[in-house]
Amino acid sequence: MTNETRPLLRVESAQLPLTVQDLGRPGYQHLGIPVSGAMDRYALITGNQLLNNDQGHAALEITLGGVTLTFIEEAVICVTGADLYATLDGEIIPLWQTFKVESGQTLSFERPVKGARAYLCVTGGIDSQTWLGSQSVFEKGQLGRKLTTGDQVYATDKVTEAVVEQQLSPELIPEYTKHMTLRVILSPYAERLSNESLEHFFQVTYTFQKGDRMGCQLHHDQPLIHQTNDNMVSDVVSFGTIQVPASGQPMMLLADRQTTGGYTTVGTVITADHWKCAQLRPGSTIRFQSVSIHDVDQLLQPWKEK
Amino acid sequence: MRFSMYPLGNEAVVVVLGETISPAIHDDVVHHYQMIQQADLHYVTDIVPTYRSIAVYYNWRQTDYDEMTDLIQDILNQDDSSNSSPQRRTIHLPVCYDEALYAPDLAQLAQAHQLTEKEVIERHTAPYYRVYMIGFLPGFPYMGGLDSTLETPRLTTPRAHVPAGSVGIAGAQTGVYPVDSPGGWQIIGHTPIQLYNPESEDPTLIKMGDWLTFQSVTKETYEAIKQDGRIEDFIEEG
Repeated sequence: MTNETRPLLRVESAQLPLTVQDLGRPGYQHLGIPVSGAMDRYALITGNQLLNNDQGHAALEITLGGVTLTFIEEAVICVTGADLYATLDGEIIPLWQTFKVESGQTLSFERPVKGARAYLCVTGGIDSQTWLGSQSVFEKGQLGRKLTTGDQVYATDKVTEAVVEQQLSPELIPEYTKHMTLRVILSPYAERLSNESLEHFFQVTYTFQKGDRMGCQLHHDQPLIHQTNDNMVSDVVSFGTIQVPASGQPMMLLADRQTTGGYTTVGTVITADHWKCAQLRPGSTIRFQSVSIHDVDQLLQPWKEK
Repeated sequence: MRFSMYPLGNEAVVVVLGETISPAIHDDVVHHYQMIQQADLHYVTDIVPTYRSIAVYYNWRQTDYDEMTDLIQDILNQDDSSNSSPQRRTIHLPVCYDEALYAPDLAQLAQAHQLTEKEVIERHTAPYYRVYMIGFLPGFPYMGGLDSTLETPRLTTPRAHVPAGSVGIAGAQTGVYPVDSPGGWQIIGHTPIQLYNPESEDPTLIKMGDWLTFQSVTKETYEAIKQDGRIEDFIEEG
């Protein structure tokens, strides 16, 4: 943090995880340090772009709601990602659109209407301590902590030409539906499951049970069966890697995942669908679809410009 | 050298050198890891070695799987005779095995193997352990070479809080916790050395490919090292 930073807002209440996130810290996974960063990168990057920020400026990641913030200074902000019933002094605010807030105004994120994670982006980005090239909070690695009642959040002194009422064209706003289809590139270890189980995995609808920034637990009444057992000599795992432990119920790894794992893996969700993984919540339903690495370029093309 | 490759999603190529834990396979991992590192490839963000494989993460906006596998193939197929004398770094980690303070599971573990605590400490401090990989937690070493008479299952109920610096045994593995964490390893000692410093650009002491030995120290030495021990005093380069 620099000396010139100024308090931007105060946390009045945070009942659910509220953290500072940017695009994470690649380059340290060989030391067991995950990349972390915003779970929904599309939402973070888009919010920053609307504010004329760098795409990786840090923002607040709000999970499911339960957060009330009071502005200490006026600012131009943009809220992207999930619809968490966000209000400013009681009035519903537009999402995916920049607007000005005055000192003393209260911004609340009440409850999940659609999706799970929202991003509060501000002009110039949030200022906070940087570890290993990133401001992303990763508590398990002693890299910062969740924000709690009474904490102050700072803005940088970077000057950007924020434009008020800049909004994203509606066709670019993602739809956070209750049901999501996630496209997966198969892992060579998928054949550790029985043939029937592997087919089953791509045919049935899974339910999201619970999850956090590390990963989420999925469920279907018919567990997957391993040919031999669930354990293999550890290999590398990534954002979107689906593991199947002995229970036969898949787990999907996310931003704060371990860097390696020893459970059977079925495959890894393609980058174009990572935002969907970030927006799952209890009750969401999921189907998996297998895609080839050789077809993925076409699927990623629209995302490459982002 | 024989290896296979597979896509870890669309963000990494994994080079697989084997399926088991063995010094020979891991020698290959270390060797190939260095070759890929030295090639200094564009668009590569992380290179992550394990017991038996290496993941090469790339910037998917700028390159793709086919291009990366071609590049990696070229690198690994080069005749590499330059690597005749790889660096070998040994860390002599001081550990206090004082039961009352730092070793809550030592007595029971000794009893389970019908050994004295002194014998457990002797057998634990004797080997040079190979650091196969870092994972599970920041800076956590997966090591091989534990005396088979010390193999002990994990605790049936994991502890909610294992303090950083705890030295433990789980199955055929021994390790040391670099950060506070929940965990089920049997804790038999504690090191005063800081293994993880997130404020540093080089945040973890132990690296894949290192060798590690444990040195039994008294409570007094433990305290002295904790006060003003320098990490460099415990590292042997060569």
